[in-house]
Amino acid sequence: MEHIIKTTDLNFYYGKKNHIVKDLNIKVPTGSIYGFLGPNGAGKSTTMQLLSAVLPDYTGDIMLFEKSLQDHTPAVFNKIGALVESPALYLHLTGTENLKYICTLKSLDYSEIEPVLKTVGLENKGDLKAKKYSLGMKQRLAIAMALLGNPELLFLDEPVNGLDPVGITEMRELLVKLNKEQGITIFISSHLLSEIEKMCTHVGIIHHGILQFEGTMEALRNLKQKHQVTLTTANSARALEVLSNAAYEVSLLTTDKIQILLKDKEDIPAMVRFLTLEQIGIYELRSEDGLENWFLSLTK
Amino acid sequence: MKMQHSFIRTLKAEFIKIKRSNIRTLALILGALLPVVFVVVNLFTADYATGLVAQHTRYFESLFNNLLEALTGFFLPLLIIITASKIAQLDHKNKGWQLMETQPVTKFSIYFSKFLILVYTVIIALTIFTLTVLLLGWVYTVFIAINENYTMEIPWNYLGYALFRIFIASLAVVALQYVISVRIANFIWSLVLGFGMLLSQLFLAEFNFNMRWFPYNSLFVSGENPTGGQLGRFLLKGESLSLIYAALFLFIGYNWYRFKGFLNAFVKKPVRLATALVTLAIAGALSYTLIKTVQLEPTEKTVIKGTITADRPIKQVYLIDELTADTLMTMSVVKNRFRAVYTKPLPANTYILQYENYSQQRLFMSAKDSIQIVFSFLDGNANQEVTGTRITENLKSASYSDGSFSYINYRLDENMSLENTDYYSEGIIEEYNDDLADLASKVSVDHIVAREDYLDMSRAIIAVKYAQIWKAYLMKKELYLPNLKVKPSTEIQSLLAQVNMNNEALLTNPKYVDYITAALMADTNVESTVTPLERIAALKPSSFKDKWLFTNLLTALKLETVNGKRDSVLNRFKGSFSNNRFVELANVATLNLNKLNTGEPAIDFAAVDKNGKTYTLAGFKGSYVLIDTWASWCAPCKFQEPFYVRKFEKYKKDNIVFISVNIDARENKWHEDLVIMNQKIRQLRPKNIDSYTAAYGINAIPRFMLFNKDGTILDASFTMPSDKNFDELLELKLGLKNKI
Repeated sequence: MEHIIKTTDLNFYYGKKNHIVKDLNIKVPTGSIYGFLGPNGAGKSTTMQLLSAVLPDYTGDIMLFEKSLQDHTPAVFNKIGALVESPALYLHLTGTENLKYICTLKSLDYSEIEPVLKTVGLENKGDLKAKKYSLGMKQRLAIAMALLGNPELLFLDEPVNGLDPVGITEMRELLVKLNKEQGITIFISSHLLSEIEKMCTHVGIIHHGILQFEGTMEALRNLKQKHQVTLTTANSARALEVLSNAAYEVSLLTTDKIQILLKDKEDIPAMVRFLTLEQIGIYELRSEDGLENWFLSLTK
Repeated sequence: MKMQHSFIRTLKAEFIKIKRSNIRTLALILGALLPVVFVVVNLFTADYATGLVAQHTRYFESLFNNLLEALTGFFLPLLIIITASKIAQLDHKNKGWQLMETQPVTKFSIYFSKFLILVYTVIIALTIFTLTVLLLGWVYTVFIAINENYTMEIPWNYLGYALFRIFIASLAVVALQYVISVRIANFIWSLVLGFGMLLSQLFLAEFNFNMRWFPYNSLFVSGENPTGGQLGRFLLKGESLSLIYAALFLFIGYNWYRFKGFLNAFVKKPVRLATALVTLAIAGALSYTLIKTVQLEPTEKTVIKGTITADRPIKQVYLIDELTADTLMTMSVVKNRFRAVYTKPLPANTYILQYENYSQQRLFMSAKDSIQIVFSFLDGNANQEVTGTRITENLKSASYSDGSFSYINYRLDENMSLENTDYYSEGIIEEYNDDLADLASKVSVDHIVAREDYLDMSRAIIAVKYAQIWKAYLMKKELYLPNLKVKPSTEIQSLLAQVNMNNEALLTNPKYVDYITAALMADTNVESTVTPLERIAALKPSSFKDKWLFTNLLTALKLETVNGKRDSVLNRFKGSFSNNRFVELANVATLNLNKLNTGEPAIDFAAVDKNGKTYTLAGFKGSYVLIDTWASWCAPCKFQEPFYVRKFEKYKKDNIVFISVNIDARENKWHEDLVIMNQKIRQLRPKNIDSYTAAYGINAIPRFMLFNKDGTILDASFTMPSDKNFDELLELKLGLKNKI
């Protein structure tokens, strides 16, 4: 099975006028970690809800596991784990009871609870009431609930929302581990480019309901290769002149700051040497990912 | 495979979800609360179930019924409203809906498994209620001695049937609250809506305003009628309606949930719109047939039939005309059943059904009615239930006497604001319209309304009541403010026009008779000595005149104290009747009155005491004699007994003999009762009961008769000993000086 998720001309309207999702054609390769990226309000959550059959009434086709979504809901959820927005847990129940709840719905034996708690690192915390969990623990419990039954596909909607840096790192490592060790395809939606960059193998970028880009992480980097460098120099005017003559893309920001667009990060040492040879002093050098800029430009 | 069990899985998961949510606890508490509080309070006051009841009253059944209205009227709806909100909140709060929707379970399972949990809590509450009633009811009897007439058998069938029907009746409310709670994420609003509806139901019920279409109403009605309806259906109409409402609400709620939006669910696609409209149409049609009121059709023949449960033999049932006291039909009772067909014309009116000489009951009927009676007479307590084609007319609450209090009349009696004509005319019209509205709202539990003839008659009685008040006002105005000019408003004029001056059926109503008699006399000269009787006698012959004349004549005959004068009154007017039957009846009445008149010789009779010794009334000449005629089945007689004994003690030094004469058909009953009767009073029993009662015209007991020393009658119908005027009257008759 090449694409575990495939949509064809997916359209969704909220009410009569709000065209939330426009002619979306997503292809998620099996075994990938697919990052679904877009600013807030781009249509990510709606797309998630459409893919997970929470919202009905769309036009176009959604294929999961190469079968039309409508043909195998809700049984298909035996193979899917989903985590929607901030964790959906029953706070008055214990962690274990929450997991028992899912086990009952998925016809699973309760013996599956222990291993899954271990996987997310909550082995001894099962008997605490969920309302006593920290935010990070809640997220992990939610992942545990999504992992019950060894799903082939995980839908995660903003899984690192509200986590601290340690929590974010732990979550990332867990997901990468699950993908590598168990071959679980992970569909993550997020608005945090940095996280997507660090973890995903494939990326789909949505804005104003339209898919702006889809492809591997490599392809994305290649596409928007430009690496942006901001320099604070002793003599900006001269630096500008010299760099232009050397066919660098350069622009003046302020009296002492210039911006240079390089093809690659690797070109930075060469440029610095060049400037030094030209007797231009460098006070500060800041390197920015062009990808991020390009992404930011999307939000305008 | 897994899809088929989706519902069961979801339901099991719901049971996990409600752990520690106090949902079950609330059901247990609200179910047990009423019986616990009731029994505990009564353990301290020791009031309940200690009074007199009919024999074989089922203790648990009566306790259950006592508490049922409070349960169905308040506590059960309260439970439903709160629990529905709680159940929905479990998922509203925790984003549970999205969680559930990404599990391998259908939306149908999700929606209805939670609904079933709500139903489950209702079942818990009803079960706990019943079990607590049984358990604590029994505990009560351990500490407090309840009346021995109760039986302790547990009425499983009765309880089962009542609980089942109440459960069905609650489903409309359960469905409605569930749909609201799932739809509205804010729990405050779902509670407010629920309580708002519950309170409106309670308030409107207070004012007897019956909203048969309101979802909360069925539960209320079923709680008030645990035995069901009177048409022999398994479910009350309100209960069937509840099922229809529940199905409709759940249809709307589920589709709204499933398609995530009202327009989406019911309008967007043609199929959905069509389904919605069809469902609405079917539900609407069914609801309408259940809600609308029904009038019962007349039948071909006039039939009266019934069953009797009594602790003494009742062999005859008599149908009696109220006006003439004429027996229209005698029905024989065979194996506790009677059935008879009446072939003569029978105008719509209130008649009397007399059971032997034990009890008289009122019955509204006309020709071509099929009347079914269930009559019970236990321990002196009579109860008559009427079904058939005249259910609503014979409901105990439906009788249209003019007994209800009128505020305007009260003000008039007190002569308040007589100069304010508008106050009176508006007040009269307002109360008149209120009474009419009240009449119009009388509906039986099966939604049956009375037929037009009954309604016409009741409206006529109401019109007379208020026309009478207006006339009384005019009279007072003449007396106190003769110079005040009064012009009756258009409403008053139309009220007066409503009063039909020739309505025969109303002649049993004394107010009506007074009204038309006063109207007849209105144009006579003040100085004229013409009496009403003379005026009526002078009218053209008609059936109406006969009846009118007869009632007035009867009153006049009763008022005469001298036999000779009474005879002359009779002779003067008996020629004015066109129907000879009235002459016969008047003759009989006169004879009886004459016989029992003061000064007439007392008809002698023989009676025995408990040892068989014979006494005669004549044997007591030389003393005054006071006789109390009683029977063991007569509850008012038993009420009089202690007073009678007290009077005996008071006057035993005076030359008066107190006798108690028992007329029970069964002699052994008398002997049984004698054990507890006062032995200083002569306890006698006539050798021939029938001739005794005929001689003294005893057709109702208790009856007290006072006889003079010389063996003549002093008063054939003396005051009851319980009456506060008894002493004064007795001393007057006996010529005693005032005793302290």
